[in-house]
Amino acid sequence: MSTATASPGGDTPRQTHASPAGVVTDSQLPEPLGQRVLEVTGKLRLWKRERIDVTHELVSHFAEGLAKGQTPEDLLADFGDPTHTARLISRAKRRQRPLWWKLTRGFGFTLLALCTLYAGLAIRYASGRPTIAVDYFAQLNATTLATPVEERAWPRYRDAIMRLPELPTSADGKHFIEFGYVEPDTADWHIAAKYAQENAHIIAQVREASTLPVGGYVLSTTTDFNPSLRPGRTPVMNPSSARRSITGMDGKAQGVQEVDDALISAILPNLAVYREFARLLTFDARLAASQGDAPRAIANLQAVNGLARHASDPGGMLIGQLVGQAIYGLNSFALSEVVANWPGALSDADLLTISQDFSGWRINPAKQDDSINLDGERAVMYDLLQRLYTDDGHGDGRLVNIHAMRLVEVSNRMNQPTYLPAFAGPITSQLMAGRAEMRRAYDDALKSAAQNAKLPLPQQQAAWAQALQRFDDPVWKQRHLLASIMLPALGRTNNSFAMATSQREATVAGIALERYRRSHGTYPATLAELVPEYLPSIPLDPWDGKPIKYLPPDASRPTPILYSVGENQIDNLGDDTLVPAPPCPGRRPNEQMSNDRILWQLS
Amino acid sequence: MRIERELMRGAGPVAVLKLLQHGPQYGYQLAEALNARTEGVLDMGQSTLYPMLYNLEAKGLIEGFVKDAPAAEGGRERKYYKLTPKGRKRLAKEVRQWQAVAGAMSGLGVLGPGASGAAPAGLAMGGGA
Repeated sequence: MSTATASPGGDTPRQTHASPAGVVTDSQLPEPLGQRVLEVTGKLRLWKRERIDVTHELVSHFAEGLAKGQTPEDLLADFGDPTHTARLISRAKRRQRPLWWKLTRGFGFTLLALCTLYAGLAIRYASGRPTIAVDYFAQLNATTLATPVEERAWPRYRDAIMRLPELPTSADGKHFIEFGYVEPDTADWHIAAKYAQENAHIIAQVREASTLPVGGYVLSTTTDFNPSLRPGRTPVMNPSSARRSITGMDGKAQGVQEVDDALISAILPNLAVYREFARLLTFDARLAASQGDAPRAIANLQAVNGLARHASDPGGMLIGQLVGQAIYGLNSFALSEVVANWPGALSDADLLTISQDFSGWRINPAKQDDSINLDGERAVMYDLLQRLYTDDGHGDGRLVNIHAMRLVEVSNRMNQPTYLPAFAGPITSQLMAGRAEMRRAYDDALKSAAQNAKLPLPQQQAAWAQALQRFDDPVWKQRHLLASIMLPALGRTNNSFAMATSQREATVAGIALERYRRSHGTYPATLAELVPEYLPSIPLDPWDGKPIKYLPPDASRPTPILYSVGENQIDNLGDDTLVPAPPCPGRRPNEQMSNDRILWQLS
Repeated sequence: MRIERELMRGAGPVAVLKLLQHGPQYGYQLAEALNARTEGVLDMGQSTLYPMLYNLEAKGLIEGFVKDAPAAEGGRERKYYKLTPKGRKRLAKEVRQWQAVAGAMSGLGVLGPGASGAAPAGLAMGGGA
């Protein structure tokens, strides 16, 4: 069937047909020629309208040839290869199509190419499996597990905390008593004293446990400690036993996660227990001093140092060392309070005893030095690597388990979300570094940190910033995302530990000042007067490498001050006003620091 | 004489544009003219001619339209092609280039006597419907 329609730009409406066959039939060409036309149009990859147009043109060409006296055989001989002709015509006619078609086609081809590429990557990604070859829990727990249970402190701490009643409420009813900072002779002091006296047996149990050689908390993703079962609490399923709720970086719940066995998922509820006991025992030390009970005061102070040591258990995490350092700092403050408020409570012998105990504390108790133990951090990283990557037997492998990155998010170790959906795995595996390269980036950074730690403190931050410079490159950082997330904030940590050792030495110096005062009736004019009878040497300020600063009493202040010039290395004569802290790797923006850092002061 | 495909690819479109310079022509007419006026050198079958025409149309250098042949010629429906303004500009440019190439080849002795860049006499004359 044919109808007449206007042809684009034409003078005569073209006869339209339903199909090329209709065009050929109406043309009445000799069969060989008609067949050739249909053979060609049948191979065209064109829209129907286009095929009909081409049919008309081919038919017309043959008709003209016949009219000029050519034979069908001549015309067929001049035609060319039908398949080749159809391909060329199809290609040429498609070039005439509108832009929208070309763009859609281009987009479609691009999408197809990307999907093909993704499929290839996905097959490669899915074909690999990580191999969990090393039990890092066993490595880190080796010392604890080799220690008889009766020599581990944690079971006794656990028993004590499970029997300790809920903290008392302050006199104004607005908060719990803060044992570490409650002021003497206040209503809160009496509430706290009553609590301590009622639980003296538990405090005694903690003191006893603190003398044991090993903290003994077995690192795991689960725990034998369910704080909800403590007196006064609402019992809930142990949140650490089988499942844990996940909270996203936006603070909103994201569901419940089955607990895995990855080291990064390990929990340390023991550290909170140590902190709570430290606050209680430092208070009881002050209470004992106020009651003239020097042995109990000394025992409590020593016990808190024991808690600090247990927090830094061998094989523990960096967080344990930081908690230990914080507990020690709290204890130093408590000691200064005892000396300031009840100077007669401790005898000279008591001061000497406690001075030896405080001077014996080390950041790394296992090595008895002030080195930072990064074994735990390194083990976490290596454990993640063996869960994310395959193992080619030569230390290398490819990323095949992007789901494991959720472990990093759940552990809240980063400042920006790194949640990657499962479908991103094949792509991420190509963008992120291989196992060996990732490990190398991490190890190199830690190696730099270890070297930097030997530098004078003022140079360490700059050195650490330089070591991390490569992480400023967004491409490099993205490629080594895991390493950049897992690197501990060693710039700040080094500062913190350096000040912790200064705290220790200043505490010992502070006791020496008190002993001097008792002997001479007044404080020395300089610290040099303490050496060597009361102090082996004058402690150095880690920030400027010079002796720590000493301010003897004056008209406005009856007691001395020991202080560090602090990060800005400017001596502000003991002014500890908070000022903005300079930028430092790992430091939060708008963080503040003290102008000078007071290390010993009898308030 | 059979012309290499690459040469035909360069010469064919220019020849078609030149033939259309003086008026529209239809497909078979173009094929006849190419054969006759180039003494068979640019003889091309439908498998070459029509893809070429469609390509030139896609580039906007020529424009097709349907028109019935004169009654004396059978009154058949024909698709004619004519140069567009863009096509005329392209033709002028191609002519200059071919003249330059011919001159260069002549200087090298590739082209024989009379090879001054001028087209064969037949092609230089306007052809058309």
